[in-house]
Amino acid sequence: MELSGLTQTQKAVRLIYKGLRANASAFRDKEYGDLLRTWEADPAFRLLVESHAAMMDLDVMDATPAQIILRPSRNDSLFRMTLPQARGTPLARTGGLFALALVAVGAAFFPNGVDLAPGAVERPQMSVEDIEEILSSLCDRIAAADDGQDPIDKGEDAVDAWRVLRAMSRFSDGEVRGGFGNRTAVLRKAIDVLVENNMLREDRAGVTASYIPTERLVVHMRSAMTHEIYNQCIQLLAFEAGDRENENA
Amino acid sequence: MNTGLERRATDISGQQKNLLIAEPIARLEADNNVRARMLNGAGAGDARLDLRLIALSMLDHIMEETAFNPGAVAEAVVEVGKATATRMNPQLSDEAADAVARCVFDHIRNAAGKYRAFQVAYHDAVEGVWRTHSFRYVETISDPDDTTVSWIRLSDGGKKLLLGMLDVADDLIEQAERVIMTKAIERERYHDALVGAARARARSADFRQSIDTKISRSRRDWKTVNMQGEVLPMLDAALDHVRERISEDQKLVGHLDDKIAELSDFGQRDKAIELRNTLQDCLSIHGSLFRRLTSAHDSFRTSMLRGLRPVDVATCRDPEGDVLMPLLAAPIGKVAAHAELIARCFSSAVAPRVLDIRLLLQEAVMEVLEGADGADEEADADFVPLDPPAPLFTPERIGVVSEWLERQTKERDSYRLSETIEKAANEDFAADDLRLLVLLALRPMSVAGSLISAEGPRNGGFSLDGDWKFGDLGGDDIVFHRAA
Repeated sequence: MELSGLTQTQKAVRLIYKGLRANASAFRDKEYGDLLRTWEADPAFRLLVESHAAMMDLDVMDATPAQIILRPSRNDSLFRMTLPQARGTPLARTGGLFALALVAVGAAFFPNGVDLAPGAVERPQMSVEDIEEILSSLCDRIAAADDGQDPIDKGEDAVDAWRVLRAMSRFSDGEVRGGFGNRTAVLRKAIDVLVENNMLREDRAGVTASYIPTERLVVHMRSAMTHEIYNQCIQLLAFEAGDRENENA
Repeated sequence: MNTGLERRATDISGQQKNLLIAEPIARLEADNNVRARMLNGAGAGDARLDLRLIALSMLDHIMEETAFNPGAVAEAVVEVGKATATRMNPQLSDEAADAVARCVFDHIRNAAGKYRAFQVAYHDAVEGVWRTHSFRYVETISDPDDTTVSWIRLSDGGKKLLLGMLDVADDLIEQAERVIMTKAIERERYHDALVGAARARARSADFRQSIDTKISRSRRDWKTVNMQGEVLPMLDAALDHVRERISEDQKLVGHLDDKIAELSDFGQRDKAIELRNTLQDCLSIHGSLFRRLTSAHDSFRTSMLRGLRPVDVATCRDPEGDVLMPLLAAPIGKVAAHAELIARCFSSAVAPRVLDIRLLLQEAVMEVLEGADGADEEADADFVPLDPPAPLFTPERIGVVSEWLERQTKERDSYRLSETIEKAANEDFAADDLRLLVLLALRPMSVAGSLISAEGPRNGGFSLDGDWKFGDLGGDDIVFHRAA
C-alpha cells in the first residue's frame, strides 16, 4: 500500500494491523519499516497509535526496529489467547495448569528479574525436558518444606498446585496428544502456544528440539512480572492465604 | 616454601586454563562412552570418524560467518559438520552423516548440560585451591536489529580454541601479525603471509562482533548508559582503530599488487592472489564496521527518542521466586481463577483465526480432485465433460417451416391453430415438421416470458376455442388475432 496518500490516522491503523501478525518483520516488509520509522520519529503519531489500539482493547508494549509489540488489554479481548481444553480434565483445572505452565516456561528462561534487563543479547536455550526438570525441582523444594498436612481432606480445587503437579506423571505413557495427564504434555502445550505467539523460537538443529526466547517474551514478562501478574494475582493470593491462616488459628 | 616452584606454577596457570578449553572437544575422541553414544545414536556404528575435526570445522565456519553477519545460522553449521563427516568417510550414509553432525553440534553447545557453560575442575597453583573453569564454545544471540532472527556465534572459549590459544593482548598479537605479514610479502613467502592474513581476518570478525555487541547493548539499555563518558569515547577509539586498519590493509594490498605484477612463477602468483583476496575480505569487514560505527550515534539517539523504552529492571520481580513459587503454593482452583489474566499477559494480540466454511470445503474438494501426489491427469480422466443436447430441428427446417407459417398468416386478421396444422398436414408435412410448426405457432405467446400473456408481436391477443387433435398431437385450439 502507498503510504504517501494516507492520513496519520490511517497510517496508525495500518501499523496496528501490521502488529497483529506476531511473526511479521519490518526487515521483510518495507511498508511496515516505513510505519515504524514514523513511529520512532513522531511522538504525536505514537499517541495516535496508542489511542487507536486502546479502542481495540490492545496495549502497545514496545516497538523494536523489526516490529511493534501489542498485547490484549482486557481478559475478554478478541485478540486474547484462548485457554486450551483437554479431554478427561475439568476445564477449571486445565486453565490453572496451563497458566502455571506459561509462568513456569517464562521463569525457566528468566528466573531472576535482572535476567530481563534490556541489552542482554545472549539468550538461554532449553528443551521441554529441561524445563520440566526445573519445575519438578521447585515442586520438590516446596514439598521438602511442607508441614505434611493431609491434602485429601480438601476439595478438588483447594489442593495446592504443586501437589497436583507432583501427582502427575512426568512423561506420557501412550496417552493421546493434547491431553493434560502428564507434566511434559502440559509444558509442551504452553510452549507450542508461546511459539505460535512468537515468544519462543524452535531450534531443531540439534538431536532434540530446543527453544530460544525472543525479545517479545522479555518485553511481555518484564511488564507482567512487575505489574499485572504480580499486583493482580500474587498479592491477592498472598492476601487470601493470610486469611486462611487466620481462620485456622 | 619453594618460591621458584611457586613462580613457575603462576607463570603456567594461563596455559593451564587454555588447555582446559580443549577438554570437551578432546573428550569426543578420548572418552569411549561419549564417542560410542554419539555414533550409535546416529546410526553410524563403528564408522571411522574424527569427531574433533567435525567440531572444529563447525567452530571455524561460525567464525567465518561472523565476518559479515552477526553470527552463523544453526542449520548451516550442521551442514558444514555433515560435509566434513562425508568427506572423511564417503561410505557414511547421508542420514548418518546428518545425525553425527547434529550430535556433535549438540556437544559443542553442551546440550546435555542444558546449554550451560562447560565446567572443568582444575588446581589453581597460585591460590593453592581447586577451582572450576567455566567457558562456552558458542552462544545463541538475537539479531541486534531483527529480533525475530537468532544467530550462533563464538564465545570466548571457542575463540581461544580457534585463535591459537595465546593469552596475549589482542592489539599486541595483531601488530605482531602485521609485521610478520609485511616481512613475509617482502620475502615472497606468500603461504606464511596467507596464514597470517587468515588469522587477521578472524580477528577482524571478532573485533566486529565485540563492537556490534557494545553498540546494540548501548541502544537497548539507554537509561544506564553514559553516552558522553563511555559510549562516545568507545566509538571514537573504535573508529580510529578501524581507520588505521583500513589504511594498513590498503597499503598491504597495494604492495601486493606490485608484487603480483612482477611474479612469473604461477604457483607463487596464485598464492599471492589468494592472499590479496583474504586481505580484501579484511577490508570489507572493516568497511562495514566503519559504516556501522559512524551511524551508531544516530541509532543511539533514536533509541532515546522512543517513548516506550523498557521499565526499570530494578523493580522487576523475580519470575521464579516472586511469582512462580507463590503460584505453585496456591490452591489450583485459585490459580485457575487467574488463568485468563496470566494467559493475556503471554498473548501477542494475534488476530483470531476464523474458519471460512466455503474455503474449507473448497480446500477439501480441491485436495480430492488434485490427488495427494498431484496426479491431476488421472483425476481429470474420471471427469468427462457433458455433451450439449443435440438440437431438435435443423436451422434449415426451422427456416422453411417459419416461412410457410408466415405466408399462411400474413394477410389474415385472425387464424386458428387447428386450421394451420390441418393445412400443413394436407401439404404432406412430416411428423417432425408438424411438431416444429406447433412450436413456431405458439412462440409469439412466450415473448413476454409467459404463455399466459395475451400480448404477442404480431397479434392483438388470442382466445381459446375448443380443442384440436391430429395424430399424436393435440391440445386447446387457439385463435390468434392480429392487432388493429
